[in-house]
Amino acid sequence: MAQTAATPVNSVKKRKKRKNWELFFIALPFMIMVIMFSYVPLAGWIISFFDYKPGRPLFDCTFVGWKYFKMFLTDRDVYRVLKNTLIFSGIGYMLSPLPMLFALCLNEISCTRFKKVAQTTTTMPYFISMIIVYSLAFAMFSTDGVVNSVLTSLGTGKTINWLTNKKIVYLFQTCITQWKGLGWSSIIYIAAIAGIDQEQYEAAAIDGAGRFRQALHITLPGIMPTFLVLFLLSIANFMSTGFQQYYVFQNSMVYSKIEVLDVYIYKMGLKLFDYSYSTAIGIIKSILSVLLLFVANFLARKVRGSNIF
Amino acid sequence: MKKTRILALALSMLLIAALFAGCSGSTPATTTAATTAATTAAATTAAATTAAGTTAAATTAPSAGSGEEPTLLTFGENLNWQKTPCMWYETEIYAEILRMANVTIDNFFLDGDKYALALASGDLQDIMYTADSSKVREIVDSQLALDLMPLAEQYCPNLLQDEYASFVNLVKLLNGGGEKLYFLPEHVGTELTGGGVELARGYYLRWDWYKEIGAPEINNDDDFIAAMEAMVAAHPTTEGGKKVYGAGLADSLTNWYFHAVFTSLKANPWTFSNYQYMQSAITGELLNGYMDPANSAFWLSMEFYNKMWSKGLLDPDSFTMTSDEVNTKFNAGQYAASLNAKNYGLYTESCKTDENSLAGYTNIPSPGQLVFADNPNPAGWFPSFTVYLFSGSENWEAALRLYNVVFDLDVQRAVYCGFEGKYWNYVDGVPTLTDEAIELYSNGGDTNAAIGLGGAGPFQILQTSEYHPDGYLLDLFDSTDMRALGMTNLQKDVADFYGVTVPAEAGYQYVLDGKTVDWSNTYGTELLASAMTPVTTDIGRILEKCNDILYRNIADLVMAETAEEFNALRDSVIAELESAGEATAWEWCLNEFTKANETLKPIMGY
Repeated sequence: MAQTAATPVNSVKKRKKRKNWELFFIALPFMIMVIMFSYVPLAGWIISFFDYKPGRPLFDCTFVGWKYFKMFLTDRDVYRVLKNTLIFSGIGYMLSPLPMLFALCLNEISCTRFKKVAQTTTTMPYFISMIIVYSLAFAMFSTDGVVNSVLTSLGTGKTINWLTNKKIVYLFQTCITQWKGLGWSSIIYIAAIAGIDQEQYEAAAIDGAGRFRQALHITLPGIMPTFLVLFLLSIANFMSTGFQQYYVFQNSMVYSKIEVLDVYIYKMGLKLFDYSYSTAIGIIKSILSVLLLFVANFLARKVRGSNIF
Repeated sequence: MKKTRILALALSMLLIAALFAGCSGSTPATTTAATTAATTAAATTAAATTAAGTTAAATTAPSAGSGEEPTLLTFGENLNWQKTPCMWYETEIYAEILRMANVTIDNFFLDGDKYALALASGDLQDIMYTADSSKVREIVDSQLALDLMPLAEQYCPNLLQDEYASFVNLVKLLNGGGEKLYFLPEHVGTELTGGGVELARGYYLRWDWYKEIGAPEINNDDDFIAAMEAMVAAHPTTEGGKKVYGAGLADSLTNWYFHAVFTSLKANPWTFSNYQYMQSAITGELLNGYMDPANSAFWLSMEFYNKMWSKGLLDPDSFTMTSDEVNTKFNAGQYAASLNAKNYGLYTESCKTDENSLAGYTNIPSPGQLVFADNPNPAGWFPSFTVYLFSGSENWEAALRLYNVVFDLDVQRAVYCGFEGKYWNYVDGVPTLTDEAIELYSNGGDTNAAIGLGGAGPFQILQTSEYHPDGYLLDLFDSTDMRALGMTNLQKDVADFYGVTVPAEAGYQYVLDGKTVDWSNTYGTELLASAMTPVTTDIGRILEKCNDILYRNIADLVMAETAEEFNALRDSVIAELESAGEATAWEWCLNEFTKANETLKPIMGY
């Protein structure tokens, strides 16, 4: 009797073990990719301690210790660059509820076809290369661009060069970022909305709640945990505003306000061949990002009662 | 179910295998491998070193391995050599040169960022030909270039001929006068005797419009601006309705400061790469373009652009445009003037509809410009142009074999005039071009581009003004009459207007009259730079910050509404430069300049 009872338990364990191995093998290529492209390159951090010259064996280069880390603290340009980075990141955080609200609005569209078209068209910009985006922006917003042509034909008599206006550079770049990323970012919220129990809507409808109150009291609270998790995780990316957009849109007029940390690291490393210094800046940025991640995890415990990781 | 699991596992294994296959690939040849090979080769030669003034070495090329497959050499360049109607190495002349060396070429164009990446990764082509003097220090310190001296006698004896001795000796100074030679010569000799066909650099205006306004004299920037103003007033829009401006330019620091170099300042912009320390072509002294506004290409150019802006002549898109966007506007006829260099696009476009069109830009003869003529280049265009063999190349022998063929003086003549027997012959001992060659050269176009007469491409090692051992010019096309034959309709019209054979003569006359200067009594545009050690990383860091400061303030300076505003901004920029440590960089550069001067004076006889 006991053996008969034990046999199904053993076979369940065996099936589970086999399934675990299968899942492990499926996940293995991606784990290897992460290790190879995210962790192995960390060995290159060592060049920040040398006056590194590519082509020469590392230990033939002069060891300089903490020189480049100290240089980071005394580099006047770093403060300007950090300020720009924090401003762009700050604006990004302030607008972080936008994808969620957009997903909410999309969810309220009753016409399925229109909803799909709206979602597709707002997601498409995400896949457009930033180089193309710049070309489009130049065609639209330059002195001879579409916008100024319309303004001139309306008799305003003035043209505005949006791409070189220092006063609106933060706003303009934020609009580009939102235009490009809004649709894509809303996908996860759309998925979260799809996971809300439909019975809640039915019960609310029975209780006399209209669409607005259903959205306010059911949909929004339903996706709030997703928003909080993403918001807290994004704290770790506070120092990473991205490179491409700010690199292609920089020009002599907005340069001082658009140069962010990633662009500065690129300039130092690949334009000025200051590989060691740019690596040191990258290390500092990575360490700060990891610290912010732990801060985010701590905040998550305080806010949600459970860690993210 | 079982089949699904097996399939999932198999796909996972495939993914892992593909991952490793994708990550593998040819690793760049290490510098140590090629250096070892080179050292071994050097050890087998009878004498590896050369002294200054070595007499002509054997001109017989090392064996090209007849019957062997040609070696494929990769060629990295950032000058965008000819691609139509055929690649530069597919022209009749160059194809023959490659056949003689038993090599073939695979060309790689590297823009600024790609080249920087290639240098950083040490993944370069067999032969590198780049216009970027800022990389010289990087190339030498990182040992990315092959040292040619141990290999020259055995693999490239033609490099040791007298014609290249000045280059070899001067470029060796790069390493403190030691025996290493990392770079190959090109464009050695006096450049543009008499100014060539049309003066390069200076004041360029659209010729048809300029004639319409009465062709006023252009003596200085104010005259230039007045002429632009009159031309724009006469043509406020193009035929397509687009607004016409005086001029526009692509947004880069170099473009913004370059105007004054060949006009109001008259200095050598290549003294210290793209930094603001320039040698005056008038006094020979080093000018501090960061801190001395009266002797600065940047500050004088900013004044010029400020004046243009105040008159509405400067295209506002100049702060954002790339060079492609500028060319589009040139082709559309939106500019009255071409700044810094001549634009060819407008004339090319206009000739498509009217072969007699005069809608193109031409240099206006003026006593207010530094005439680009008689430029002595004993070290060629080095370091502005750096040609080197990648030290990690596995094909260095074939590359040296190719250059040994290229350095042959008969081949140098062929680069310009084609090979003897087809395009020129000795007639009573005088090398004489055939009628076919003259017709091809004067007609130009794709037919000649496919042949390559007149010289184009990376194998112009000696300047056209240099002589062949037969006592005649290497380039038989380099006489005033021959230059005249190659003129476009536009250039002919300009020459007729000024009553000269070629347009350059009108501008060069100012030099002969003593009203302006050319390069003949200077070290030329490249020599000083080739005799100085390249800027160190620390000094380069300071100078790049200084350049950054200038670049960030360009827009505000150009758009300053009053002289007071301009001056106040200038003073604050200068204060910022001071706090960035400019004085340290100036002291270092002045020291290098002084040392180079003392070295070169006895060599040049100044």
